[in-house]
This record gives sequence, C-alpha cells and structure tokens, in this order.
Amino acid sequence: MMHALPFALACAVTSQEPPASTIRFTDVTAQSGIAMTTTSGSTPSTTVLEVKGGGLGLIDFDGDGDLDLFVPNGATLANPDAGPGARLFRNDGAMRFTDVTDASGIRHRRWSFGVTVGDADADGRDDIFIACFGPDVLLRNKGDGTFEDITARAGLGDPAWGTSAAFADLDLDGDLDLFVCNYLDFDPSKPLPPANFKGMKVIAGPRGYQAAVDRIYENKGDGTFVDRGGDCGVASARPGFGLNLAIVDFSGDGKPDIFVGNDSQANNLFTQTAPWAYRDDGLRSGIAVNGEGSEQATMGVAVADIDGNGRPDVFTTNFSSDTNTLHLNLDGRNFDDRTNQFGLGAPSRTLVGWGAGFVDFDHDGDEDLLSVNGHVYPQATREAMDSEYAQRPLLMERRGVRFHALTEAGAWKLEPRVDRTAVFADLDQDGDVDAVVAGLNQALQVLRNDHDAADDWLVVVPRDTRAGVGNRHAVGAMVEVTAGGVTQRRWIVGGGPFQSNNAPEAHFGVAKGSGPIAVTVRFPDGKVSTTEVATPGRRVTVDRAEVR
Amino acid sequence: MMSRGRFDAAEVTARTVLAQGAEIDRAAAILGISLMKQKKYEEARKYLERARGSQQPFPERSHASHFLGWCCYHLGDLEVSRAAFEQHAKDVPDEPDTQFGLGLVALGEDRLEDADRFLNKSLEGFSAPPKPDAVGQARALTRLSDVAMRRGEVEKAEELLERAVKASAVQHETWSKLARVRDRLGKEKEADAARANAERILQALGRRPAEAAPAPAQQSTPAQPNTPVQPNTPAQPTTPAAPSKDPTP
Repeated sequence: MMHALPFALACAVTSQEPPASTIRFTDVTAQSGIAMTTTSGSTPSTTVLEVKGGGLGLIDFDGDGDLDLFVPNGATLANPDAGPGARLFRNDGAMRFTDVTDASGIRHRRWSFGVTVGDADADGRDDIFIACFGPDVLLRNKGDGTFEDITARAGLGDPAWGTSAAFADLDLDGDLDLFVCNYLDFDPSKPLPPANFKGMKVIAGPRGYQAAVDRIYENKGDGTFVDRGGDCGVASARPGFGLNLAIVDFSGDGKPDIFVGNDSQANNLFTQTAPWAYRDDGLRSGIAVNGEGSEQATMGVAVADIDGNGRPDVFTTNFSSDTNTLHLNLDGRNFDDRTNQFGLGAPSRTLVGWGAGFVDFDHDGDEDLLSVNGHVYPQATREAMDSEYAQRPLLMERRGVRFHALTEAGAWKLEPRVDRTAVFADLDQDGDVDAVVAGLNQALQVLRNDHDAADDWLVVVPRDTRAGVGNRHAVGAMVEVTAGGVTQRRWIVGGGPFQSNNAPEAHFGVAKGSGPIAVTVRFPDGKVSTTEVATPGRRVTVDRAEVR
Repeated sequence: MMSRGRFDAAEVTARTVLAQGAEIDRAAAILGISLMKQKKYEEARKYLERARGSQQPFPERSHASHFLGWCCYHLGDLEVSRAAFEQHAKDVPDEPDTQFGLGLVALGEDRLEDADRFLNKSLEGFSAPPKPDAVGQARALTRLSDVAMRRGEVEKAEELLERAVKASAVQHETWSKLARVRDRLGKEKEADAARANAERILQALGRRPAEAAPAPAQQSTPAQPNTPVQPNTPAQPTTPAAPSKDPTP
C-alpha cells in the first residue's frame, strides 16, 4: 500500500531539535534585467482601488520552453486608463531577462490587476488575459513575438473591476473557458468616507461598496467567448467581493469546480453538477468561512494535498488580527478548518497575507509554504494596529505534520516590503523553484532558489498537443509521483497565488536513491498516463496526445 | 469606567495618571487592560508586562499575566501566551477564563489532550455556584466541540454545541459551528436553521447588510447580543471576555 507523504514523515519526527533549514534564496533582481517598479495609485494609498496591487503572469510566449514574465501593471487615480503600461520580460536563462515590451507590440496601459495565460484560440500559442479596472483585455499571441488586442473580437471586455482570472476547460470540450473574479463597483470620484479600524480612520472598503458579479465565459471553440453566468448558477449566487480563485476538481467527480475567495464575505465553491450548471456549496461544504464561522479577507489561494488523502486542500491568506486558513478537503464534499493542526495560524496573526504558494523548496519530499505580506493601511504600526505596514514574507517549512516559520533563508527574508503577490516557477531550469514578487509601488523582486542539487527533484509537465485543443497545459490535471513507496500529488490548478497564474508544471522533491519513479498523470478528460522514470533530476513531459 | 465597559475613557484616565506619575504601576496595569479590551494588543502588552513585574502592591497586579496571556494569544505568540496563563493559573487557580485561555493555546498548538483538560476545567469553573456564567459555559462547550471535531467525533461535537446554545444563544460562532456539524451529519434543515441563527446574530451586530436577512429560524431564537459593535472591521476571531471575577476595582 502506498503511503501518503506527510504521515510517513510524521512517523519519523523525534523529540530532537530539527536540523536547520536548508531553504535559501538569493535576491538576484539587480542582475536579472527585471528593473521595474510597479504602479498602483499613489503612496500612501488613499482609496480601496490603490491597495490591491497587480499580478504577475508566467508565459512561455516565445515557445522556447522556459517561462517568461508578463507584468500587467496599474495606473493612478488621475488617469486609470493610461498608466505607465504593462511589461513583458523574455527569459534568457540563468535568471536573466530582457524587456521586450516594445518589440512585442503590447501597448496596454489600463489599470490592471489580474492576469491569466492560456491558448484561448487553440492556435498552439499562449495568449494573455488581463483583468482590469475598466474593460478587461485579451492579447493574442501572434507567434512572431508580438501580440494583438482581440478583446472585442473575442467577446470579452467586461467593464467591472476585475481582480483574479483563470483559464480552464470547464466543460471538458478541449478549449479554454474563462472565469473572472470581479471585486466591487468603485467610482474614483466618489470614494466612501474613511472607515474605522482599531480606533483609527482608515481607507473604506470593501464593506460599504456594492459587490460586483463574477463572470464565467464559455469558449465557443473558435477563440470567442459567451457569458454563461446568467444561466449556470454563478451570476445568481450572492455577489461577493471576488479576489481570487482556484479551478480544479475538488469534489472528485471528474468535473472541474471553482473556488472563489471573497473579501470579507463568504467564499463560493461552485460545484459543477453538469456542463454549465453549478451549485454554490461554499457554506454547506464549510469552505465559505473559517472554523469560527467568520468570513475572512481571502486574498492568496494555494492548493495542495496537505494531509495526503489524495484530495486538493485549500489554503488562503487573510487580514491581520485574523489568521491564514487551511481548509482540508475531507471527502470532496466537506472541508474542515485545520489551520491550527498544521501550525499555520499563529504566525500569521500580525500579517496581512497576499500571494501564497506550496512548493517543495528544499526537495525533502514535502511542500513548504511561502506567502508575501503587507498591510493595506499606510498608517499601520505594531502599536496602532498590531501589524506593520511593510512586512516580511512568511516562509513556512514543513517538518512532519506541522509547518514551522523560518526566520532565516537569506537576506531577502529580513526585508520588510509591501508585497501583494508572487509567482513560483523553475525560472532557470536548474530543478528548484524560484520566485518573483510584486508589491505596491515598489520594485519587482527576483528570488533565486539556491538549493542547486542535481538529483533530488523531478518536474512533470503535462501537455495536450492534440490538434484543436486549447487546454495545452492540461489545466485541471492531477500529477502523482511515487518513489520509494512514498506518493506525492500536485494539480495543475486554474488560478494562482493572487491575481497571477500558477506555473503549468508539477515540481517534486524526490529522495536520492529512491529507485524508479512512477509518474501518473490524470488528464482533465479522465484519461490516465502512467510512466516510469529511472532517475530523478529531469523534466518529464507527458502528452495527452500519446494516451490512448 | 472599566466595569462599565468604558475602556476608551479608562485609557485616557490611565494615560493622564501615568503622565503625572510615571512610576505608578497600577496606572500601567489599567492602561494595559483598557488597551487589551480595545484589541490594541501590542501596545497593551508592554504595559501589562510592566504591571506583571511590578513590586508595588495593587489589586490588578496578580491579573496582569492573565491579560498578557490574551494579548500574546492574539499576537500569535503562543509560547509567551501559555507561560502567562500558566503563571496566572498558579496565582489565581480558580479563574476559569485562564483555563479557557490555556485551552485555546493548546488548540492552537494542536495539543488535544491538554485542550480537552483545560477546557473541561474551564467549563467546571464557569458552571460553579454561586454565580454560574452561562456565556462562559457556552464558550467552553463550543471549544470543546473543536476538540471533538478534531478527533473526528462529529456526533459528540453536535451534542456539545447543542448544550452550548442552550447555555447561551448569543454566540454566532456556536451557531455557525453547529450548522457545520449538522452539515457533516447530513441534517440539512437543522443546519440551515442553525446558520440562520448565526446570520441573525451577525445582523444584530451590524456585520450584515439588512437586505441579507435570512428567514426567521425555527429553532430557539438567540437573544440580542450585548457585544459592542465595530462596523467596517475585518473578521475577527472570538474575543475572549475578561476573567469572570473582574479584577478591576
């Protein structure tokens, strides 16, 4: 019988002091060629529009096999439609990038928040969708290193304030459908008067504003989209202040479901009952609120199999004087708040958490957790609000059952920042997972993982290269790796850490000398591929086109 | 002022006294408690630490560690919180809210046996004559249901929560947990009724827009909550009450 990893490790826990962590990152921003300060209104922020920051997009736009970086960027209250503009950075390898925005033809300048990437028109190249304050935008990758704005032709361009978005094949017909979280109705000329937090006047929102309705679009198969919200059960759910989402088969019935994190309101879990029919199981499943029954801020979302039961669990980051939350997926229908069991609550109480990701940074066979932080209220101090404005990232190493907050992992870890999101990917393709961090009106930060061992990792890249298939990255696939009797699972999840996208590949730490590695990929359409890899230290592409 | 819940006024008074006589540790204790009650835990912490270490005789000194325990709990410093509560439990062995605090710290550290023991002791204290504390009982029972759920004892959790809402029906957390437990047991109608009660309490607290009012529940109706309302405040965890024996003069 195969053992789920966390509990196998738990058995090995002793009363001895755990060894020092080997997780180390180096801030290589200066050498990376990514010299960009993002814009999100002014500093200090004065309205709710200015505090969310913008996302990051991982995209292999030039098809050379590594992940490039797209930054949608924001704007200012004075001119929300004409900010400094989005940027595209080509990955040249070895953690070096070149700004190719001008050559790419991208002239996007609208105040942007979320970004997602996928082959919307099934032409074999990844396109970019940008969720904006104002009409959303779809940029088509023309295949020659340039992009064109095809928003109107594609039937997109919802004017509501979009935050996070995700492509996924919701109806399992092979093309990529689209879900967009919308936040609230905001008129820059009429912000609400200040609210009160811990006795201080602060920026108002989201409470007091009208929540905006999320959008769910069906891809008609030709790269054009039709809004299905009205007839599928999404638009009829109580509108929430949507901030982030994760699309994966939570229920285990083979159909992709949609988790939507709402700010200060109950989260939605749109369980798919039939193609284009959803039931909101948020409250009934227990994932809408935390274990105290309280609605939370729900910015960052990370999905992983934390308890080893083979089901995707959901971690969310939240406001200060609250905790981040881990909802274990018990049986596909019920989620239970087990934040404390895994040690994830207390270290987050003084933080406002944003983008988060589970990654096995040290290749010890379990996933660690990195979340980036920063307050929304410029006047936040420990004395006034129990929480600073600029905050350090929270790096939690998994040791046995519980996660432990690390104080040291390189100089970057000690630097307080006003961060909003991060993306995680093996940018230099050396086998460990690096990160790029984006904050509020501050420079992007490029972090290189210095694990650098050659033979204790495996990257599985699910692909679907069948003609006419837009879901080329197999969003929704489950990847299972078994080595030395230990099984680990990952999902290719639609959505991302916060207003960003996940890397379309599954990274594993694999113990050295653990023998042959069994790799199983369950594709979104239910087809299963099983292969064996002789040794770790390699990237393995598993193509749906080769599965009968 | 403290006993009337006027913590902001108590804070001003304590600051004034401290400004005139910086050496008066009792003023520091009052200031720390008033700040703690206003959820300003970091600032409260330093005054409570000073009060705890004071050599001056004043009635609040022996309770400073209790309030310090709550501050550190809310700041996520469970180790210091536990030590502070343990100190208070030595100094004032019969204080059920300190046992409750120790129970919550144990839950935070996933020490289920300890959580069970402390919360049961807390329940015992809140139930003791001559003045049983119904709200305290409900809080202890609600947290004991957490222990049961963590152990997978869903029916037991339901029984504990039903006892909790009988003791005091004004805790939205209790109704919400009861709804969750009933969902797990497949009792959908009963779950919805419990959820409706939680919603009604949140509405009464001003944490729900009026248009979101659910239909009246068929179950026992919760009384109006007496907790102060803080509109536009992000979701907060359960706020502990003061020790049932008010240490303030």
